[in-house]
Amino acid sequence: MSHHTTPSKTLWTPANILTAVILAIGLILTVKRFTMGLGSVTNLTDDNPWGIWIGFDLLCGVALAAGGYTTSAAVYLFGMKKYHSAVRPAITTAFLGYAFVVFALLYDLGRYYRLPYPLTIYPGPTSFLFEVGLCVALYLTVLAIEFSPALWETLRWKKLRFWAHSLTLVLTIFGVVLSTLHQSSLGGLYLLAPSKLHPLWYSPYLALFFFISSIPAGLSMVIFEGRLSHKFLHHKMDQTHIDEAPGVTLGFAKAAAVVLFTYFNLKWIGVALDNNWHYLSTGWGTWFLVEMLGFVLLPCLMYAVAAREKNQKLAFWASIVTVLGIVLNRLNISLVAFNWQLPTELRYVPSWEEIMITVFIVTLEITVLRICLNKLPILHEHPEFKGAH
Amino acid sequence: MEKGRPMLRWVGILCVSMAVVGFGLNALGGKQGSIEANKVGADLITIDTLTKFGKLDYPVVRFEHDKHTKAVEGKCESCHTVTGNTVTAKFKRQEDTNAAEIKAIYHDNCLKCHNDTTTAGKKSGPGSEQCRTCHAGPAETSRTPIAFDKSLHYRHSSSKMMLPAPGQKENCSKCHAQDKPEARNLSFAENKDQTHEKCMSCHIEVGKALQPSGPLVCAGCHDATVRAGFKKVADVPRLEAGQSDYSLLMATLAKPSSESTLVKPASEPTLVNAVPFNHKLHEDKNENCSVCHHNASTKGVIPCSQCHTSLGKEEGAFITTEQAMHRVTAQTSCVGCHAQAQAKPECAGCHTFMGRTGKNTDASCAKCHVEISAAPELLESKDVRNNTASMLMNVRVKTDPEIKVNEIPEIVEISVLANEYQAGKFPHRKVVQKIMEGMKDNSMAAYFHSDPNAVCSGCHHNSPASVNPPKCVSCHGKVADWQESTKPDLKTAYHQQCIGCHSEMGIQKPAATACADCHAVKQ
Amino acid sequence: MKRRKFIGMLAGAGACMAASTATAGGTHHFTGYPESFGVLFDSTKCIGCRKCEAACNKVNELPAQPVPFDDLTVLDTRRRTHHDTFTVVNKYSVNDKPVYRKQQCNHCLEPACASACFVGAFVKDKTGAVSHDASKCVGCRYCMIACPFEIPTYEYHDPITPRVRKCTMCQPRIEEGKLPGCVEECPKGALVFGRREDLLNIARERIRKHPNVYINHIYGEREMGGTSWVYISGVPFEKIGMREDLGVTAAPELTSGALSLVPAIVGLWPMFLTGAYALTKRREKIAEEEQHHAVAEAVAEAQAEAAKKTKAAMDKAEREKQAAVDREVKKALKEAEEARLKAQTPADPSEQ
Repeated sequence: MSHHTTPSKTLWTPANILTAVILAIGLILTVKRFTMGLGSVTNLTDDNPWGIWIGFDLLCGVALAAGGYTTSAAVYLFGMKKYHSAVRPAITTAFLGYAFVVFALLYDLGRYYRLPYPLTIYPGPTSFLFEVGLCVALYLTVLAIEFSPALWETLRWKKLRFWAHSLTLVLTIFGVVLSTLHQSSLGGLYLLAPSKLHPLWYSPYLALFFFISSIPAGLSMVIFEGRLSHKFLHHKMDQTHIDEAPGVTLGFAKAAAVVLFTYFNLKWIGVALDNNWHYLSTGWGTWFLVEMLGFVLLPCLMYAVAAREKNQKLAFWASIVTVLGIVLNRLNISLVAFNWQLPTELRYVPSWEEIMITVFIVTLEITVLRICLNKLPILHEHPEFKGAH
Repeated sequence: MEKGRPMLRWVGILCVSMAVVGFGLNALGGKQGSIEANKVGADLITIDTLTKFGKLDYPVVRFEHDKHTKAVEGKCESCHTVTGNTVTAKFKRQEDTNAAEIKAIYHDNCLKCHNDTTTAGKKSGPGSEQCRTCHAGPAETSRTPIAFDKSLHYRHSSSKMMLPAPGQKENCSKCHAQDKPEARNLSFAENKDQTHEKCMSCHIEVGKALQPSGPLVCAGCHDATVRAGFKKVADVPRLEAGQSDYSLLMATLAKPSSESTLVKPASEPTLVNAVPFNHKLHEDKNENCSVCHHNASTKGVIPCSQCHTSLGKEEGAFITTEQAMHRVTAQTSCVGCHAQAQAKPECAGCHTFMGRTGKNTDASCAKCHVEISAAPELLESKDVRNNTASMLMNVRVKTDPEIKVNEIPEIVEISVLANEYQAGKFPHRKVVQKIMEGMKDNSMAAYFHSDPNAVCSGCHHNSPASVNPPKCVSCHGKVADWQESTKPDLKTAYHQQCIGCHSEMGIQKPAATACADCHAVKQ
Repeated sequence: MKRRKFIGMLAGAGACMAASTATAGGTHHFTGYPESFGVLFDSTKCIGCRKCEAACNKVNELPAQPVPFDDLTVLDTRRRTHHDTFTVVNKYSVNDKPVYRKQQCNHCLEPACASACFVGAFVKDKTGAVSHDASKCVGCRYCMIACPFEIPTYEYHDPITPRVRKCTMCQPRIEEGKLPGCVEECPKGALVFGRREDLLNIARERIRKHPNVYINHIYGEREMGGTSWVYISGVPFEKIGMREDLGVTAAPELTSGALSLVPAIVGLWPMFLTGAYALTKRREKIAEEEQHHAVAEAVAEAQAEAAKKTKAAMDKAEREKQAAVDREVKKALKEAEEARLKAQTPADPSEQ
């Protein structure tokens, strides 16, 4: 049984103070960005139009919010009822994840006020970005509805809650379809730039890679956040939740091991497809091997061992390595191996303001998540709606 | 074993990872990018004998010959077979038998010598465990082929060491494969190995006689810097090999019948008109026979049409007589060599823009091809033909074209387009004089430019040659019509002609981007 | 079937579909609008005078530049286009001789930017120009990612109305029958404007006529599916900063295969997932029924067992009761017998 903390009495814990500082700086930089333009807070250039706001906030944010569709598919479509208590936290994470992805996007878009354009008056369906936008918008709606019962329960709006809950099955199916599409479309974006992406990372299978890797990403986030909630929000969990937690961790660990292994194989098939083996003997090849062996194969084996030995701690560490691996993969494709042919002086390095705004957005997201977990029936069932799932 | 199992697992994972990384880095014989292609001296021999037996397991060997010559103190027999004074170029064998045997010959002998040298305490080459020091792949070398120019040939042919064989008048047969100069079979050697054998054996023999001899090391002949230091003889007498001064080149068609290969009488359609050819002048202008008789070394100096027949045959790589004479990209063809002369800076200003398709006007064909009646004597006697040629050539113009300088305007004001800039003041007379200077004492230029006002056509093109050529604006309008023709518009025409000529002739001033130097800016 | 196998099959199906390079469009091949225009750039004629840059600046009413256009020292540094310079000329040193190349939007026949734009702000006009409509642009900058020639630029300094900027091939001017600004100004005829087909013919003719001058290749004839701006050069294109590894596939073809799968997924996934759900539900139902049966059986067995036990106990009790009764009767009879015997003995006074 892991050690868990007891809730503190005061609002001004060290964590909250840090949060406040970050939020304050973030707000100042937000004002700067919106009054003085992108150039004033970013290191973006004409050669490097996408920076960490796309590379991390968008690509990693979407990949790591994949826990929503994987968990709800497992519980509602494949009937794995023993993971039921993990659904609400996963949906919450996913919903907030996607909401903040859209929030971060508003920073990056030059004309953020025109965000609805592609979905309403000027659709451009030849573009994968259109695909991404459409599916993310629809999926955010799906997640909002799937998340809403927690809200309705707190507000005791029974009719609304009943209606939202009855749509679960349809929304889950729709959610998996949309997730498949937008996860893979994010990879599909880079299909248009073979001359700018290093051959070890560019592949006609890019869309498939993004989709497949989003599954262990989501599962790992559920494991990771589950363990953190267990440690810090134990007092908010009901008995079902506590009992089911090890099952969730180990079950998801098993699934993640299988998918990571598949992903590992697929990546090598991608290398073989274009006969790119000779790149492995270059510096880029070494970096590729670090990503593949250290951050795909290693967590795969860690998960496999953890599931076999029923070792939750190992699964937790594996989830951290997996999440880092997904982040590394997305950053490699969008920033590191992108524009690899440019001379060093033209390569992109994020400015501190860009990093700070990313930290700000993530902190804001974590803060909202903490509020949700504390105030809404996510880690426990609402006493008036027990068993109504 | 409960505690040890996780440890074992981690070790297992690590081993697997290392194996994969190792495999990946070996990368299935990845590119040789990591091995630096050093520039080796002129003595680099790339040993790739086994390529003719199939794909190589290892990269080719870099062998530095001069280093080894020095190591064996000039004793060729250490590695080669020496019979009398002839050294075979092959290493420790007479012929290439099979892959395994050759590999064994190389490995056993090379490594043995290296080991022996090391044992003797001296600096030696790589041993048997340093495969890739020798098998390092191809490298850049400073070796360039040696060209035997007239001066070098004369030094050989007039050498006291090269006396004629008993009963011979000339010493040609010492190197070339013939007895009499008139036979003109001036072939030298079939291939590189034979060449080396012939040259080296003589040099060795002379060296043994303690006389000043030719080089015995690779760099001595094949290094451009060393060659630049060769003694140059100034006025080399003409190489007498029984060649005529003038000849009449006549096209022939090989007949399948017993009839000899001669042109038919005038009543039937003839092949193209004959070309009188000044062989003496061309000998004078070129470094050696091989410039035109390009296979002289292996086949001897033979007439072009022997291999390059009218219809082409295998011996001539199916290149016909017409192509052999006219192909503009080949230095061995008439037109090709002349085209190269046109590329000289003093000529390029006009000639670059005329293009190099090798196809010019009828008038330019007539410069070489002369209409003469095919009298029977011409067809039968070579002497008659040569005399005819000599006569035809001697009546040709050899003097520089005459330009009445005072009739050329000194300054031509070009104001038709003046807009941002003022009218351009073109120093016409000066330019023409400069061009004429470039053609001075050049008999080729004099002959080909012998038509009146031919030189003017260099700039005043695409119109009949005249002392009063039409203005440029007659053909070049303000806006070009690219659908109809390739004529540029007037502004482009002026700038391309002037700036183009300057850049081809290497004229620095006025610079292309110094607009105000040619036409002042309007204030 | 087992869940794992099913998921594996899903992934397999996905992989197979993703690997296909089927183009959504069959054998269609766009060779440009008929009669569309283009520009031929001949690098052997360019002298690096920068008059084209000056003309572009004037015609497009771009802001004044910090360095005047007749300052040729800027050619010593490598420059690229910016939001206020739609074209630049760069100097390259090849075999110790300077060669110049003008860089601007190549107005591809099938532009990557048009394919990438998710609001359709780029249009390939029938004049051949690729134009950008800033009134639709959302500022996502995907066009800048997509362009293989790295041409579109962005106004990062503008907080409210930043635009994507690039060469327009002077579309308004060519629609009026005028020449693009740069073409008109070039004194050396390094730029030739005309129908694309004519330009290719001119280029081929130049190469044929001067084989010793030109590299035998027209850059842009087929690169990236063909561009309207084509180039010929006297030195290898790579030496003047033009990438020769871009291939001949038009950019939209790079994504059309994968995009064509989207409707397929929308059609197929619901079927698979509903199927999974149905299978799950069926399995649950069967499991429930089996459990029901098992429980009923167990209960019946237990009841039968209990009844047997009760009967045995009752029989035993009955027997014991009978035995006890018998015992008591026997005891009573014995006592009665003894009492009777005692009462029967005579009285004797003197017998003592």
